[in-house]
Amino acid sequence: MTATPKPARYGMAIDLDRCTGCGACMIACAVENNVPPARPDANPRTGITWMRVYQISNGAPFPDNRAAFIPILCQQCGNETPCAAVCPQEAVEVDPATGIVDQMPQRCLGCRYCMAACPYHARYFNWWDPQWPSGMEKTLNPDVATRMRGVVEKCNFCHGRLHAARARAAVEGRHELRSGEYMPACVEACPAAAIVFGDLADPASEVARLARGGGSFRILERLGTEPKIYYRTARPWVRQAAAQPRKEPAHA
Amino acid sequence: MGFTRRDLLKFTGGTAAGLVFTPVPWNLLRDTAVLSENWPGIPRPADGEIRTRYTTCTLCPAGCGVRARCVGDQPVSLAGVTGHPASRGVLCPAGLVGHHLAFCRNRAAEPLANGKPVEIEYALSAVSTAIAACGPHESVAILDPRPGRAASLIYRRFLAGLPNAVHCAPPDAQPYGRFSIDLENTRAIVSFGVPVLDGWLSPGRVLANRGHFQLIQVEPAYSRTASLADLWVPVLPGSEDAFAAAVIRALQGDTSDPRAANVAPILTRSKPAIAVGAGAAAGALNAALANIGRPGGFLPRRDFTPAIDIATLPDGSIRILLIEEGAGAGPIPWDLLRRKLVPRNSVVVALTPWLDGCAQHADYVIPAPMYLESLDEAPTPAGSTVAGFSLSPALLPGPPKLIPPAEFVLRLAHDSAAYPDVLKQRVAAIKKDGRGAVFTFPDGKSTRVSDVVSTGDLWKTMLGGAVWLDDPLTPSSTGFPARPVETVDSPAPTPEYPLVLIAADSTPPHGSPLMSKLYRESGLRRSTNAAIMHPDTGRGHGLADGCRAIVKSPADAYTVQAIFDPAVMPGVIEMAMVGQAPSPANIRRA
Repeated sequence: MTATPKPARYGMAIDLDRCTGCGACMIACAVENNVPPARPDANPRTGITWMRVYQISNGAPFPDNRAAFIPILCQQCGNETPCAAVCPQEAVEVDPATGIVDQMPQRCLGCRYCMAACPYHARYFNWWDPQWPSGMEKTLNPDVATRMRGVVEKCNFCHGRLHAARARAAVEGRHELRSGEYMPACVEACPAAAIVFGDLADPASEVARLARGGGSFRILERLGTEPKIYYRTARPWVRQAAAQPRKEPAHA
Repeated sequence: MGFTRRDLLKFTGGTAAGLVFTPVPWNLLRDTAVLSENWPGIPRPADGEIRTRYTTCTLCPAGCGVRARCVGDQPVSLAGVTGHPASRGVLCPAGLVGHHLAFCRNRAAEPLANGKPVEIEYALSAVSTAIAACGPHESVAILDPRPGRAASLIYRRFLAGLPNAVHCAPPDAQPYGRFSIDLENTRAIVSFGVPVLDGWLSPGRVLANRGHFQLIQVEPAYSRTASLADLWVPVLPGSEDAFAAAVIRALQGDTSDPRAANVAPILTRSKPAIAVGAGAAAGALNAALANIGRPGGFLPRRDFTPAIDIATLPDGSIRILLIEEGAGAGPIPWDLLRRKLVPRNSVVVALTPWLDGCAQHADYVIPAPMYLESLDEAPTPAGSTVAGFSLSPALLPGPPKLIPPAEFVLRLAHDSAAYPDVLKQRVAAIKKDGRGAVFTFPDGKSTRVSDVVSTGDLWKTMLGGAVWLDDPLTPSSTGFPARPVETVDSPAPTPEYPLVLIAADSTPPHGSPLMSKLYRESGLRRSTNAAIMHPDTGRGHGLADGCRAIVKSPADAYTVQAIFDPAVMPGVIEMAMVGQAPSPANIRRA
């Protein structure tokens, strides 16, 4: 009889007081997931960044101004996942085994209802067919398929890495992954170790401990979507800013 | 009752309209969409055996260890090496996509003479002839971006055989001479505009030690580092020396400057403390803090190879200038180099992988391999208090006509040795001295050099991914340069140029196309076409938020978008610069 693995609830705890805004997570994410470079006419509205680091400010004038960096990725909503609820194509699915909100570009119609529904602006639309400079296609990650023009994509906690970790575990005859065996590219790349990833359902895990700890909060928590991305900061103004809807930058 | 044509049309129209309200068309779309995923315009990743290979990043002086995930022989992603003593398992954004550089445009792929393709023998012969024709008061110079490598030794050997020859380095290549910062034991850093938390030294090492030093950031702009510092002291551009003097006075008990009086207790409480940054400010403060040659301050190391700062050479003295430019090199200040050249008949040879850097000004362009395309070396990691050495084995095949800069100079010197032979000599010297330990990347273990059986074994180990680190020297303060770095020229505003333009972010001159994620696609890093200013500053010069403007300085003029931000110091314009910040600027409506 085959043992059924215990369902996981993968999530992150991001320490905003450690984030330096270097962008290594954004770059590592793009490399891992075969996100193409921008076209010459791309801008922050049309660019694709599964993880995007925003600089937020306390709004005070010089010299009382203060800033912080806040990485925003798919918040992996665990309750009434807005994007899944509106998708007419069933292209968004919450995996009950991992809690990961998966996007299936093969099914996506490109209606962008999910983008409108996402309160975190964490979904991106392929306005163009993906293009890499000549020869650079050779550097694509073989574990992740490229996406076509006209479909929506977003962070899936590096699904290719999850599959690879599961395959390694299966070879060793294990049904469950060990702590730290599966880690998204952004977590691995963060030079400040600001991102901790793991199973929130395991109360002994580091990520669960940080999520429960003081100073931990989730973005737009009042919406009740139960995001699985937790943020931590000792700066009250950063917490307040995170509770507000995002404003489009004036010069985007 | 017949079935008319009108009935047919009504039935067809009704069916079409009705279908929209059934799941049929949606399911059809869903189930056929998968077919369009495979159309020929979509690139497909290559398939092959997955392997892990190791190398060392040579894009900057940090010398970070690199673990490359390869499909066959092709690297598809790069990551840091866990446990690396210098980089601590970290790569910067540019290092994460170093394997893309080989596919960038603007690559130099063949030797050029005055912009026209030539054979390498022609270029060698022409440069040799030019060197032979040098006059008695004219010199041959090689601009070495990283003195201290085996390549530098090749340059020095070649230049030693010429009557007037200079081995020189860019102005900021050796800021502390043979001294480096003992970051592991430092408890406070006063930074005069140094991006301590944004790429300084080895980012992994800095961030690993961040928990045990206080950071005081002294600069006019609220930079990334300022936003994460324990204390930000916004000073007027150019007043850093005065502020350092005030801190020195505050350390002696004079509290007349309240901001300096805030800083002094931190430095007294958190010893040892150091000051870093351009100008005499940091030097004077370091002398006051008595940290030179002491743990937690500046410690000497063995392998320092001095090179002459090119800025100190007399103007109009260089006839032949060979410029080595690395794949990840910052911009070389061409105005400075041009001043050093003789007014007529000078010859500039660019040994570079790029066509858009110093190659634009060169008579001869010798195409150098891109990062990961040939065996290279990484000398002592930036800021390391002990000497170090790594090999950077090639992971990619390069185009056929590339020649490493050191190899070109060897051929110019009619030396039969090849560059890898000189690297082997360096490894043999390390083995002979027997000092220090080798950290191997694949297994994360350290082995004493004396325990390695032979030079051949050491060479093999280094090729497989390893870094050698020397034993530390006995701390001493002898030889610390009096003025670490040249003072940044930032004169006071004048009626003609009433504003001050400062570089608030740096833009790398070259990089992977994926770096667009940080610039155009997210705005995380400022692009060079935006000038950020306080609303009062902009309005005072007749500008509106978001309008186009021309920023003019004595050196240059930029067409930019004016962006108002109340967080910027009034009277100052912040711009991302590829090179150094120009001095005081004038601004007018475009």
